[in-house]
Amino acid sequence: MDKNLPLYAAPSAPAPLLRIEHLKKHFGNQLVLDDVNLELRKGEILCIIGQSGGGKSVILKHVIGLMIPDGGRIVLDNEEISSPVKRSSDFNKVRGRLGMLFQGAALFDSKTVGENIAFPLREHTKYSNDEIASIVTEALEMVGLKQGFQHKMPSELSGGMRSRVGLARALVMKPEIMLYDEPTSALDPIMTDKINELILSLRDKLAMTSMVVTHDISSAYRIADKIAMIYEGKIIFSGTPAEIRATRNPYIQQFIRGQRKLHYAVSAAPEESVGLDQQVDVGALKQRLAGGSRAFSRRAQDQSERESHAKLLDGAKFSEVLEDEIEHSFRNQEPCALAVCDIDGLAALSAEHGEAFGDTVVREIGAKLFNGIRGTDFAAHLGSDEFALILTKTDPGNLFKTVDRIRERMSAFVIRTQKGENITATLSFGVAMADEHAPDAETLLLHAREACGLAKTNGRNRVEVKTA
Amino acid sequence: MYALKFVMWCGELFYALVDGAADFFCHVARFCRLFGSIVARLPLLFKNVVISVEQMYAIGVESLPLVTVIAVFTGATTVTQAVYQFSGFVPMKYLGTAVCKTLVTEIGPVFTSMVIAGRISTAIAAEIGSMKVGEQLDAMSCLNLDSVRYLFAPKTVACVVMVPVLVVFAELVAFVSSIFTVLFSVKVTLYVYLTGLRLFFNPSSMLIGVAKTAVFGAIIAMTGCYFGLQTKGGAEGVGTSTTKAVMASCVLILVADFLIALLTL
Repeated sequence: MDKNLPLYAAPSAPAPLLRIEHLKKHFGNQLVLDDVNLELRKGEILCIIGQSGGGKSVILKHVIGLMIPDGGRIVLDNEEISSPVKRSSDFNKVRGRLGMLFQGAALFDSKTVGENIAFPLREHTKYSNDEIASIVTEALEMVGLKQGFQHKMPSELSGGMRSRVGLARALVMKPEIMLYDEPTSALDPIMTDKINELILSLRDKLAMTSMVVTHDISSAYRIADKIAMIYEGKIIFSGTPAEIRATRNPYIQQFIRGQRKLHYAVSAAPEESVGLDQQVDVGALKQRLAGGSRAFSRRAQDQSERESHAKLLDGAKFSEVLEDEIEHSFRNQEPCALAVCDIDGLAALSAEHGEAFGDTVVREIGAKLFNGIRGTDFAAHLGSDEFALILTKTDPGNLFKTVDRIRERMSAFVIRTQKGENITATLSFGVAMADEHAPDAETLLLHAREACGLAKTNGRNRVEVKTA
Repeated sequence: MYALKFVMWCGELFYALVDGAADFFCHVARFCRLFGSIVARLPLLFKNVVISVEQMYAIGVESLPLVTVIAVFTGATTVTQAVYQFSGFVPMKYLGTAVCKTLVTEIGPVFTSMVIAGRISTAIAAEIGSMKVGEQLDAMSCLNLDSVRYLFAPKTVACVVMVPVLVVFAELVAFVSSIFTVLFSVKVTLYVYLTGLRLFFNPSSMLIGVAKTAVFGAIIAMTGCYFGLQTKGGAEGVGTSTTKAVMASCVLILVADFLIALLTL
């Protein structure tokens, strides 16, 4: 049974309007789509994200009937519309229920804007010329283009205007499901926002169901009810925007954060790492990471580092990640904080219970710290008894509370000695925010260490925040 | 060792030949399929006569300047070359006969068709290719608009109708040009030349000459459409398609001319 499909539907959940089941497609020897399963409910906006050339547009072309699948099927309203045995001509009956906005709009160059929009109306309806003219004007107004655009040629329009006209052309046939192929690519941020607004308004006004292919993650967050991520022909994630933000899947995090390198560690146990994105093949991903770029996390390259402690970044990698995160936070105006912590009294513990026990304490605390952070945060072991946490997108107002909760959880962590005694090791935390006073990794680390020193001076097992 | 290499070379050659032949027949099959689908849509053209008329204007009227210039020089060159070849061997009273036969049966139809092919098949291939690359053909399919009906069939019909018209026009211009050439640069009187023109004039050969250009028109349009549809990639792909279209249309015009000549012997 396919694990991607629900075992049963909740009584209240509406039945999917469109179902893509086990879709497969080859181009020559290249497998482009490999067992793709997706569902789209009425009025829902599904964004399919993924790298360029990943097969996103191919999914749309199967849905609209421009391609015949090699395997699987597509079901619209419980009626199979596409499968390897169906002919493309069979699709003509249902194509009227679907509309598509192509990347670049695909307007007919030899026709004016008005003729472009009127073309399907003239051929498929019996409206008079006056009625068609009024529908064209209405459609243009719906997409925010005023009168006078009808007589312009497509070559006279900007990219955003072309997209709008393409949308108006698709809308005049009143489709139930609208497919968008990279609607905001190559548009400036203001025009991108307008197109996103338009997609949302169509859902609100016409209850239109939409499937949007994009690699613009901010647009996906803005408009999507559900986001599906495609990677190497497979859907590796399907969930809400909040769920994709929280996922620990390293590839997804790299994609949604627009990072050049893959910093995130892969957890030893799939169930720890996968969480919401149950479809991820973590074993395969780890193998890929291990065999791939040196930039990938060291932990993924080394089998011996499967232990929890090994999930922490080392000092060199930590500096690199911190630099990247600070740059990312300034670029996107998102907060980024660094918490440095020391194990209180580790030297005394080692002296009393032995060096090996000291090492165990460091390892156990490291593992606990790693497992306690969010998927978007990082934990690093800086050396001996010092750890660091890079906390991304943490509200500065709640920073103290957040770190203090971690401290509290750590202070309740019990480690058993060889003699059977239960020991609790506490941590002192120093926190600093990346801002104009700490614009680089070195200064931020210095500030966090100063705050940590202050926490130790002020009585240990506490949190101090560095203030400007 | 050499024997083994020779066997391997023969194998590779055989494989390349089979592959090439398979590719060729694949193209032939697709071309025939396109022809069939265009023929099947012909009755539907009456519902969209305007599109065909627009294409006739673009293909016919807009080609007139080019065809006129080509015809002027074709007529003049034919006379000049004929005089050069006849000098000392053939009486000049047959000059008009030779020019007439040449222009009406071969030079006029074939040369004019090839020139039109250079203009029209490349234009069609570039247009269809750009539409393919720019996903406009896909957009038509998404709107349930049949690209064969709205694009290929009107262009083919326009070429079938307009190429013979252009050829007749070109032949007339070439005759006028030949007369002026005779008057101003050849030592033959107009009376002798015109008598020669009428001497063995056969209206049926002129009709065959014009009728076969309808076939050439279909070839010109269909090669443009076919290679436009085969376009892959971006601008470079469009360029490749236009080159292939003009090459294929010229070759097919000559092949068709030979076959028609055989049939009308």
